[in-house]
Amino acid sequence: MKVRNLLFAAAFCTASAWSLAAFGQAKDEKKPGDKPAAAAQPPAAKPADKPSAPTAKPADKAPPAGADAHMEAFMKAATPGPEHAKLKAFEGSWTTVTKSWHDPSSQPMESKGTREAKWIMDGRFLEEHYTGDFMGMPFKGLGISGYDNVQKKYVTSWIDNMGTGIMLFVGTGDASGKNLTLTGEYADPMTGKMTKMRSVSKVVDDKTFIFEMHGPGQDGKEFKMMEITHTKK
Amino acid sequence: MKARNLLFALGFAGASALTVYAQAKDEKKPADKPASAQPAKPGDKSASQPSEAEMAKMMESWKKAATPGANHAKLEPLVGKWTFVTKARMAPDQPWEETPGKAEFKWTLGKRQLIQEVKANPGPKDAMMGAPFEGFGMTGYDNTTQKYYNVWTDNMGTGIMHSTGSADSSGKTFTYASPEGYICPMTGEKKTPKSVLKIAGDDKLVFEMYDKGPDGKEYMNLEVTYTRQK
Repeated sequence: MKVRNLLFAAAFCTASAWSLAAFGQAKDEKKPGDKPAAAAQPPAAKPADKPSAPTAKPADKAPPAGADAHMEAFMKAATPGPEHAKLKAFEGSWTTVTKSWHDPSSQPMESKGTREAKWIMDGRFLEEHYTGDFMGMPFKGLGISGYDNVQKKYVTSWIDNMGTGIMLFVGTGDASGKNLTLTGEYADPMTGKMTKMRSVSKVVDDKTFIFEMHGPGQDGKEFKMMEITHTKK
Repeated sequence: MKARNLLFALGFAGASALTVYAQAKDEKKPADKPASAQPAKPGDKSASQPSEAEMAKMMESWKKAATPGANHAKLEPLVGKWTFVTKARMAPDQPWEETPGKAEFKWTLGKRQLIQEVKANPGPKDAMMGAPFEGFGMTGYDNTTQKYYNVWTDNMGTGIMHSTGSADSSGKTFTYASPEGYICPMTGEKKTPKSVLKIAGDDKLVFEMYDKGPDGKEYMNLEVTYTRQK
């Protein structure tokens, strides 16, 4: 069963299928009655509560060369940790006020919306739904945010009904863990050229966070194009 | 350069291009107020205000980028509830292992993207993670890059997998590559898997993934056969 599940996950895209499977089989053959290293571990559903549960057993005498190291690395990659706990600041139901600028000197336009963010994949990713309106048009967006333990980067995928593309953002948090800066790019619909964007998320307090989007202006210099103030419902 | 303002429309909050548009519109027709609050005063003209022709071009580009079309329609056969069997193997000379599951594809955001939700079936109390396997994917077609894309996350990892691809002339076979790939957490090795999705009939889909074997040659290490739930 273990091998099969590993393969299932691995093959779907996360891991190296045959090294995992080889480990699983070798270990199963050697110790048929032995519990897998991670069996006793509770589900990692609450990253904030259990940020760094130990995973593999280094003392385990499973013989395949490097197998335990592989398993440990796999568990480390797959287990939500302290960085996921920091994303907890962005979960829940929010009301939003968005200001947007088309150039640094313009007056902002304002619009209102809501944002719902809930954990999926056992506390690994935040699924965020944004709903608002813009000039009378309904605006909806869907984002998936997490922290990639292997890249050691925060990651976000974003889609919305104002385009057909997807934006992928990757970035880091500062020492306080309250400011996350991610960069991504999208294909400019007029030129087709990839254009860089930078997002900043700032946790102000338990009930407030600010999301900013920066991008190149007409002079090519970066400016703040959008600021969304989130207030917890 | 105002094209850059369109990026909100395409990228994040649908704001900037439309802001320009709204402001330009206000200047032309001050009485014709847009529905949303508009702190900018009409006539508060900045030097960067685009001409009417530029405006029209921007709006046309944006509409083209934002409107689902024939390429999105090719994804329609995926919509629905499926059962599937995954066959996976660790190397070209190894036996296949099978895992059953359930999946659902549904449209989101005005038929712009498909969401796929996957659950292992019969939901084994997995020995690895203490939780049944779950996966979440987003699939779409970017009118600007003219490529299909896939994003995938699951509860066996913390990363987001991204791939892009194209459809063949039949519109029933989609081939994806992941040039940026991912780092295998166990070996530190960079992986750049290829995947193929085939619409094999009204009620059948086949998804394949390919990896490089120990000899460096590409081989299929995963095949998922979907059967539509009746």
